[in-house]
Amino acid sequence: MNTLLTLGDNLKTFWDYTGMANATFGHIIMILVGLFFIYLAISKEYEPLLLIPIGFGILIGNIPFNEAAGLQIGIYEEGSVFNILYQGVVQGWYPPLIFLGIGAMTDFSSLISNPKLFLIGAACQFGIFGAYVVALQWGFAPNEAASIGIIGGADGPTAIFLTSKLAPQLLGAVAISAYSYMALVPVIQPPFMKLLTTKKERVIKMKTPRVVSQTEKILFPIVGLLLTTFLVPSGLPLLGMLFFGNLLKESGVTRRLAETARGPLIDTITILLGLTVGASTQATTFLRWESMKIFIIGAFSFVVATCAGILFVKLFNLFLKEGNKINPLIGNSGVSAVPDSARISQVVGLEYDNTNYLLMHAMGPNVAGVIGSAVAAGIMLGFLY
Amino acid sequence: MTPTIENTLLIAGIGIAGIFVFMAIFYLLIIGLDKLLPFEEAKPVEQIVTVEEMDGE
Repeated sequence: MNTLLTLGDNLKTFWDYTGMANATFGHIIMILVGLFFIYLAISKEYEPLLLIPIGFGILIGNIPFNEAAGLQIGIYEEGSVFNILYQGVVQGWYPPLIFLGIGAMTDFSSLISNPKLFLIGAACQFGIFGAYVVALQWGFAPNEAASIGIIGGADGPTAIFLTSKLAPQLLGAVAISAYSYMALVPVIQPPFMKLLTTKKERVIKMKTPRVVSQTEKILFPIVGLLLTTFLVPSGLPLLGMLFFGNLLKESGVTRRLAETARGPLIDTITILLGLTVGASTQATTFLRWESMKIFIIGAFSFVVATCAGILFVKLFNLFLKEGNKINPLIGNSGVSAVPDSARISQVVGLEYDNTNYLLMHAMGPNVAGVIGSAVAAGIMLGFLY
Repeated sequence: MTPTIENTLLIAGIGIAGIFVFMAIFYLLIIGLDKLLPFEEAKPVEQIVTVEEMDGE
């Protein structure tokens, strides 16, 4: 009889520790969200390199367990494996490493050959500051509002970096929102690009960019670093690594380092970043009305950024001579979802003229957007940290 | 206008202006670089060989 009772107790204890006993409605919702991300990545091929780790991370983070038992398995439990990996996000050292890889794979030639495109990258940062104002009006504290606004930069690592410094409690929601909208660039941007441009503007052919010398390519990251350091020191962790990676690429004498930075290193960090950001969406801490508001403001900032870029090009064209005009379809690429937003410019441009290749022109504002959003993050940090 | 809104608009205004100034400086710097180090096309190999041959003679 005693044996049976003990067995019954053991079975009850075992049941209490299972996922089934601890599952809540929130866990089920988040698991469905994770599955949806994986579906989008595999079936629609929306940013699969990000959405697969994030989607699977959401599944991992939402496996229900007895949180009171101190099993050290959850991402928010000190000492757990996931918690250790998550420190790269919390402490903000994954984003600079991602920027190192981005620098090592980015060719700044299109920007150097036509530096006017820098200004489009600046115009798209209206999204960040517009969303910052809206978030404050919606009751967020200034540091939280800045973290939400940065979603409009369409730059996941920058969003994570700034949020980890200013509002770590919002990290999961901001990161998921930023990466979701980056993945949805092909869906969000084209309607606004078509809405804000005329047929005549969509077929503008831009001048072939001039050839950029190797000396210019080598000097660019060095000058860029010095400018960053002296003007916005708080952007140094991101921009310093971006330009360092670019110098590895362009110097021509550190090919092995550049290949490691843009290959195995960035892949490893992307896996760790995606998985832990996904896992940080544990239903018990993530499913709040606040997260929903962040998603809404994030969408708003993305739309404002896209529209600001396009409208800025239209305005800029009023001052440019015939033959030097910019196709406003590249205005959207000032949001720094590299290279997706530039690819969208190309795809939409080809719909109206199948001989008009805009990709090389759109890469200019695209990389300018990366610099612009990192500068915006630096400015926010300077004011609010 | 409350002080919070005033402060918000101030940060947003300085922020966007700061980015434009930053990008404009970059723009001017690249223009300067282009003027200072204009791109020169490398001489075709055949031409170089011819010159070397002539030197030898």
